[in-house]
This record gives sequence, structure tokens and C-alpha cells, in this order.
Amino acid sequence: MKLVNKSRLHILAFVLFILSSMHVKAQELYVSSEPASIMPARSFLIQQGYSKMTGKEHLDNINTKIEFSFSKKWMAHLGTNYNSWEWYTQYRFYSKDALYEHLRMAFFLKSINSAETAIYTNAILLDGQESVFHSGIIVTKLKHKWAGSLSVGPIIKRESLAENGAVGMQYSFSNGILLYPKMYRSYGQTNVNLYLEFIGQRLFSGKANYLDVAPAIQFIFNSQAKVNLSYRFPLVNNTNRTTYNVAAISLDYLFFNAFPKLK
Amino acid sequence: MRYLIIPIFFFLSASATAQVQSVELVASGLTCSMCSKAIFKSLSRLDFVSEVKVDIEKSSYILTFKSRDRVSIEEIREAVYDAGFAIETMQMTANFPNTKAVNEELVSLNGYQFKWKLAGVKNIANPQKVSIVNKEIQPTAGVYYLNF
Repeated sequence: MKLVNKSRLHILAFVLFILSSMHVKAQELYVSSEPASIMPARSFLIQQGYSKMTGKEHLDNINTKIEFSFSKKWMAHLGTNYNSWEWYTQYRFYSKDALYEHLRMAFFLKSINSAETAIYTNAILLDGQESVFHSGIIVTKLKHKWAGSLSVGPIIKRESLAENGAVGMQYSFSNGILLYPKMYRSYGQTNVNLYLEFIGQRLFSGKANYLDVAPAIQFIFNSQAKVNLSYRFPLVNNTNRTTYNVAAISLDYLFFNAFPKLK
Repeated sequence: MRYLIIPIFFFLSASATAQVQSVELVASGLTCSMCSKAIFKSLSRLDFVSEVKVDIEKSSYILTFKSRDRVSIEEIREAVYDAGFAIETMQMTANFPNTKAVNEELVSLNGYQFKWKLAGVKNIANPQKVSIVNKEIQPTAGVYYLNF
């Protein structure tokens, strides 16, 4: 295993240690993954993002997403990313709530349909550089100070060279906390959330695998609009990906009760 | 004239009692203000709700109504669940027709048939704050149980 960015890992460990000793509230509005929770029923979200992908190559990526929920258990989004479009749907099949805590589980399906084919890459790219099917299970636990979410599921590269392998497992582990405010007084207060997410991949055929980390900071305005800033980089990288560092910014706005309730 | 006014007064005061004045609920499953706002928006759009007062920190919501004649517990519950959360506790402040609450006794309020669930007999001090004790605020065999 090739470990990279050791000093950055130390900084992350230090930040985690400081945060774990603070009085905080958990947050699960993750930047680089989806929690098992579904957006409020009949709401609508629009997101505009920009990311700069670097490594051996440079790519600029503009992405747009519209997300909507049909009910409290079922949501979907349509999006464009780099040279692709995607659809995504998620169904929450388990929910157990208590005061300031919950456990939720959901199933998702995703299809990335790209005009490009990254057949020479031995990793499966989910950033629009190739066409991919992805599904999986998400388990999210929120408890007072900590909100953690695990996702795991198969990914299939739709066009590849035989030696690179086409089927793998994608997984993520996300954590989030509220940094500010210490006390909620109104919906007008700007919220600052910090996230630390790990995103990994292991191919069943072929030897490629990676584990990336994506710290992020999120500002929420008026409890309705978000600005997300994240930087993703590999901790372990046994792939020939040409872009592996991703600096991303996105803005999104949630419209509550956007659709009427059908009786 | 005096004989006419007194019965009218009694009629009006009788119809003004036995009604829910406000509902206070604590939602569960959330710690974020955006989540709280989702519940707030969902409750605010109910056609019989006039005002929702919120304490984000405590996840509590106090609902007052346009008309005390129409209050739907099912729709309040549904609004919180639609926002993606659950109800930890629900309390109602109401004027009760009787002065005593007796275990298992039926009470009519806003078209609902409630039943008391308490040890023995308790005095009611109108307006009385009571809790709905059914799990997840779902009626048991069509009945909501009330407790102090």
C-alpha cells in the first residue's frame, strides 16, 4: 500500500482531536456523499457547483443538480457533471428517531452517462469522465454530538479494457459537526458545519484501489441556502487516475413545500 | 330581556369550552436548523394553523389555530413526519367540559373521542395542559389517550 500525504493526515488527526473535545452538535448535510435521510417531502433543491480537478492532468468541471422528493421516503436528482449527465434515486426503508438522535437506512441507484470513455484508467471514475452504474446501501446515525454515515455498494464501469476490470465496490464514511452557532436562536443565524469524509474504491477484478479523504466546510444561510467548500485528496492511491485532487465549491438552495400534497 | 340574555350567555360559554387552544410538540430525530425549518414550514402550511412558535434548540413547536373548531391531530403528525422526522411528545392546552378527569372516561373535544389514562381521579384546571400518550401519536383502537 502506498501512503501519500502523511503530513496532511497528521493535520487531519489533530483537527479531529480538537473537534472531538468541543461541545458540538452533529450535522449530516454532507458535502461529498448523501445521508440516508431524505429531503423534506415535496421539496426541491437546485445546486450549482464548480470543481478543479488536478493531479497528472487538470480538469475544470461545472456541475448542476436538481433534486426533488416525491414523499418523505423517496427522492431523486438529475444532474450534469463534466461531460456527462446522471440520474440518482434514493429510498429510505428504515427510520428510528429519538430526541436529538436517529438511525436511518436507505437504498440508492445511480447512473452516470458520459460522452467520454476513460477506458485506460484502472479505477472507476464517478466524476463524469466515464459511464458508470452505481448502487448501494446507506446507514446514517445521528446522536447529539456525532453524525456518521456509511455507504457501500457495487459500481460497474460500462466500457473498459479487459485488464482493467470493470466491477468494484465503492464505499464512504462521513462525519459532520456544527461549529457555529453554539446555541440556535433563529433560522436567520448563519450555520457553519465541518465535515470529514472518506471515499474509497476497490475493484473486484484488477488491483486498483484508493482511499480519499474529503474535508469540507459548509455555510448555511437562513436555514435554506448552502455554500459548500471541499478539498478531496488521496490517502491511499493504487490507481493510475490522472486527476485525484479535487477542490470544489457548490451553492444550493432548498425550496420547502415546492409541490402540492396529493390527496 | 334579562331572561333572554342569560340562556344565550350559557349557550356561548358552553360552545367555547371543550376545545383545543394550542398544541405543543417536541420533534425528534434532528439537530440541524435546516431540519427544524423543514418542520416549521411543513406545520405552517396546514390550513387550520395560524401561528407556529419555535424553539430550535429544544426542537419544540407551539401551534395556535385559526378557529378552535378545526384542529387535526393527524395532519399535525403527518406534517412532522413528511418533513422527515418524528414526534417525541405532543401536548394540548384545552378547555375541558368536566372538572374532573377519571381514568378510562371518554372526553369529547374538537370532534375527537379522547380517553383519560391516569391513576384515579384528578382535578382539571381549565385551560388544562394534557399530553397525548399514544406511541408515535397514533390512536389505539381509534382513541387517543390523555394524561396530565
